[in-house]
Amino acid sequence: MILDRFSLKDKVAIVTGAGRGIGQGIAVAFGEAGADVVCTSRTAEQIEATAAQVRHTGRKALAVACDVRDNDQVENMVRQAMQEFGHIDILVNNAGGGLFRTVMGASQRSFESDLRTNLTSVFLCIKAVAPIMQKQKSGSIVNISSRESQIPALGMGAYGAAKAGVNSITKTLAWELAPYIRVNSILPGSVLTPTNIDYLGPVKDMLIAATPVKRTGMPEDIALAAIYLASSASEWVTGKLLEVDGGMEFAYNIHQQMGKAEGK
Amino acid sequence: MILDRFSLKDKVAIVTGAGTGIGHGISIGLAEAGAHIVCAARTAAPLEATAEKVRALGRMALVVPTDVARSQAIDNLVAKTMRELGRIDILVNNAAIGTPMRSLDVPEGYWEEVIHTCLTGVFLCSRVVARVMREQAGGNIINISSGAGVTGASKQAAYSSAKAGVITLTRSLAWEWASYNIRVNCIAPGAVLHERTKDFFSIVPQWLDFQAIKRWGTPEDIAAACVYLASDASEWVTGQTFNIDGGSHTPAEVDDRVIDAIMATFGSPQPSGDGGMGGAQSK
Repeated sequence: MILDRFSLKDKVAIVTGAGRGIGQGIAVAFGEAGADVVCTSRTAEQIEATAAQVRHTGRKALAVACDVRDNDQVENMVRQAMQEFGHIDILVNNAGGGLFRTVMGASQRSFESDLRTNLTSVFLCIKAVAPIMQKQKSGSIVNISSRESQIPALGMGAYGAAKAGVNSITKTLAWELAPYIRVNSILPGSVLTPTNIDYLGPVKDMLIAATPVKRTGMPEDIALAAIYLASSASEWVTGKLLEVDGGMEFAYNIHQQMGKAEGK
Repeated sequence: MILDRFSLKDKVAIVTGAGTGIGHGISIGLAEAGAHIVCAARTAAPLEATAEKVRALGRMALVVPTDVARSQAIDNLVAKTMRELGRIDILVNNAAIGTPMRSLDVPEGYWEEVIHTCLTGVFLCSRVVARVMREQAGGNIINISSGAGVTGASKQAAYSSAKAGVITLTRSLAWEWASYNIRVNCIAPGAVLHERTKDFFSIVPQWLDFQAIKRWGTPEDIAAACVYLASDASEWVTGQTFNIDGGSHTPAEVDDRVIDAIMATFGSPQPSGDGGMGGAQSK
């Protein structure tokens, strides 16, 4: 029965950046879909709250504070996940973000920091989890990229470059890790969350006007796509980029407006 | 409960090319997810077989022989659907034709026929159905393109061009019809094994080398993607093309030995038929 293919029953998923926003939405949705979830991010309080919501769905949750930019912390987090659950079936690399600045206004330090937060972190998490999945002869990795990876990322140039790197590494790893592990990416559009409300909030009406499906995105929109990619519904899909963005393309005027709001 | 968002319970879906292959798989998949299916294609007998399976799942099925290359047939398809089922929630534009052939050898009229069925047919069906969907205040269109339309494909000039057109048409119509609450998306399948491709694939096993996941696709792989796109799970997704292809990025080469083998096995295509190869031409 085709709908059974979307179930995540008894799978174990690690979700990074699970403290709020899209990551929290994915963690809770995965719980509803039947998975036990390892909720990780830097802030213990936030991931404890997410873990509580996952448990409310009837599934188990483990909260592990971890900075995914640090290899030792990543390896420790994965070790704890294995100790608790004994297997890891799904990895969602959602942790990321960046400050609003032009590329020309960036320093080497800030540029490399954006790369480390958004691209190196994905590399570190996959390096830690993939060998486990290879032994299991199964696994699905879902990277949360961004629409900014494919358009002029005004005010988010380093972030956009890092996410473009995530897109590339998705395709490369799909071949390196085949056939047992699938690797795909979701490219969200404008999903308003606590992490971006400060600069997207003021341009919300413009975002909606520029979006064919006339609303901004919700974490649930991304979570549903993640369920498709994490489950056996997509077992013949790897190395692919799924754009979940209400149909919006590049809206230059919004970026310029955001730039004004930040005084850049 | 989040998995309920994937349900198509009581939706009415028209599937073109529903008699065989991917279209058959999509019909069954949508029915398993709860939809009633209007099975459309040129030949009635395979449609009856699809309709039987849909009814066995407890859903309603209509059989409407239709040539999507003919406007009148499409009008008839939509009219019959509205008469019997009263609404159209989903349209899957899957009907297609095409045979690998050296471009220098393509017979007169063949290019036009492929473009007309694979691209114009998609536009014509979408337009008639969209008028209904606009009155209903919403609907969902899924176009079936091909990996050949994404990358281009040697010795599939007409087919790959038509399928590429479908990808861009998807985006254009998505933007145009979003205000009617109609979503339009596209699936580009890779090499999907079914009764009409299995003989052909048996002579090109090396095509699997071009995929990260080394197995042929199944109609169910495409059907599952259709369920995601047809349901509320994807309500914020429009204008997109999903490549469901076992992780491939390049078109496989159809070398001359393969073309000669196709000609020997299936004969050359007749201008008003599908040369036995049918639609869903692998990459």
